[in-house]
Amino acid sequence: MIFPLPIVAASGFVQLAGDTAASLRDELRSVTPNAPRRINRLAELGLIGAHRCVAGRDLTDDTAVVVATTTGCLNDSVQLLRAIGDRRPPMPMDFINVSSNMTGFHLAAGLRLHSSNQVVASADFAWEAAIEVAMLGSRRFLVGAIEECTWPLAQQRERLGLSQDAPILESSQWLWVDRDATSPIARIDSVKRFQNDAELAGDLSSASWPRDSEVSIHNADAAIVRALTGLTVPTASTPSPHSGIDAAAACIAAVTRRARSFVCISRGRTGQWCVTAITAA
Amino acid sequence: MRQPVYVTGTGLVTCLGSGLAAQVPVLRSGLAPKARTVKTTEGHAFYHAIASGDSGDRLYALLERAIVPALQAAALDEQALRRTALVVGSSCLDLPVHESIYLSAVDKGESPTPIVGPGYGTMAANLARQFGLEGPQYTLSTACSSSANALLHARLMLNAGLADHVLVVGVEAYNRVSVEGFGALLLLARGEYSPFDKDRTGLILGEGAAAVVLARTAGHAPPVMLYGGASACDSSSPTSSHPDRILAVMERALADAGVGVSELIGIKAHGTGTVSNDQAEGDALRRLHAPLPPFTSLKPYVGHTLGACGMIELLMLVAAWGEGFLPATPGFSAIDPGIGVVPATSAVPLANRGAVLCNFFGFGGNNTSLVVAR
Repeated sequence: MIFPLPIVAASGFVQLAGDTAASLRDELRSVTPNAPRRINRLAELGLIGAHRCVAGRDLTDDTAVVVATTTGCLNDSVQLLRAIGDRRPPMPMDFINVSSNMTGFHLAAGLRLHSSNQVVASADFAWEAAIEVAMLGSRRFLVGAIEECTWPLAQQRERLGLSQDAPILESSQWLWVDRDATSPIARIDSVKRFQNDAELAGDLSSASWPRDSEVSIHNADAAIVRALTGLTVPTASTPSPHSGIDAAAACIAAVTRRARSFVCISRGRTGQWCVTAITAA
Repeated sequence: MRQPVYVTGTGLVTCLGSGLAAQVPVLRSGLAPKARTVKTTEGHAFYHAIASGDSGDRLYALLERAIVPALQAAALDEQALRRTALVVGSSCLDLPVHESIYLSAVDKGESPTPIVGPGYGTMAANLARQFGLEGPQYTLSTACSSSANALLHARLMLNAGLADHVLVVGVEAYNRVSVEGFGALLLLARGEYSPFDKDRTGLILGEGAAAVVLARTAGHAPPVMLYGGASACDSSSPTSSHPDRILAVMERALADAGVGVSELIGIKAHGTGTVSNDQAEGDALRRLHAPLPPFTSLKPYVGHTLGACGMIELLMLVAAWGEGFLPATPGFSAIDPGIGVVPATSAVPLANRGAVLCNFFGFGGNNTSLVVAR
């Protein structure tokens, strides 16, 4: 049986991108004194979030690491293209770091993990896709969603199709799941996908969530979700170029505040849905 | 115990041609084709699968040449096709498209923003739309083990009943970032591509695409099964693996498949031709079993296709195995005393039935081994 997935810990790190790239080294050293050097920003973000989640506890070496990302190693990719455009040979470390699985590598090195280590992307439901990859492959895993910013911000906003005054967030959201946990703080009860509104409505009509479940919606019209689910939903749904993080951030926030019952409803670009249900232990 | 899954449709395009049959003559010959020289900082060699066209166009052209025949062979009805899941394994993703756009603008004297509209999942979304797939989409990007990991995840999905069919795709299209990057790391061969050879000097890159439709039942498909596999991270070094960790992942893969090492009839090594990979992998192979089953590296035939090599080399193996042989490793002439193992130097007869272990190791210590059976 795949579900429920017991959650041992959760933590998130979010910061608003300023006009220049703020150094993450101090934050990184505060969570892991032996922070590796010459790593990229995505890895720094990933390590900050993951180490906050683990908080110094020991994991068994069969703990898998699965990273969800939408834009991946954007800084390194941009730097490499600029180097080639300028007819300069790329820096070797930039090329090594452009492999998005380097984040998981550094995390595994620091936590002495020797299990599966994956990077998962999906245009829609990246966070949920990462949970699905993790849950099928391993009894215990760290699953995280990481997005980095690149500078200058004007180019990053152009890159993401945002208005020039839109805020940009960097984020690193993590769950530690262990099927053998004796004292979980919460559990993921289900991650379900639906092809269309009718399938969503049909499933949710028989769902056992309390009617007062906390609800977070992503890329969906609140009125439509209320009509389909009968749940009380927030009135605002902020579309985001990083819809994968938004869902992750909402899930982590719900777990950390010990939400009794939480439902995360995400809508994809082609009208599909993905619903994650989490309850406090 | 996890169950095997079946390959019900295949598509492949490499520098040897399109389709499994096109690979066989060169594989049987044991001779590597001549690589073209590409226009990079130092004029490196590269195996092109498509003769011309810019990077952006060639990515989707490669994909189409692999996916169309795979779906045709699987012969799914409309509903089944719609519900088919898609798992893409790639290291380049759609970088070739962004690179083409950016460099074209730079060449015109413009100051473009590199990579507009980024998204690691964009390529999969485009493929799903093009081929009418409405099932879950996943893109796995773990350097050179990407499409091997994609196959593993697809099998798990099928075993868990989360899909009836999964289209698994691996692709690597020429891009200057990859060629210049490997050049900067001094990993590109200075002459012949000769994995495991005493005088090996590195790798030659290549492009290609491969696709399979995996299913829980065989149907009318050729009797090729993904029996099992394992993936594990070796955190000892970002660019090379330790023999202990390689050995561990091979043993884990065999255990997952329920196949004893003595039952193997062959091994498809990762065999990149770099000093470090072949040393570590050779050491691990030597410790895996004595006597060692015949093993080979397929990379000299088509180049190292990075994230796509899992899918591409799997289908090259299937193509040769279907004709009853394990291909030789081109370029090998002298044993490396530090490794102490010798790859196949001529085509080795392969029994019609049996299991073959396939290795794929990526940067970041991402090591994956698959067990394929007929």
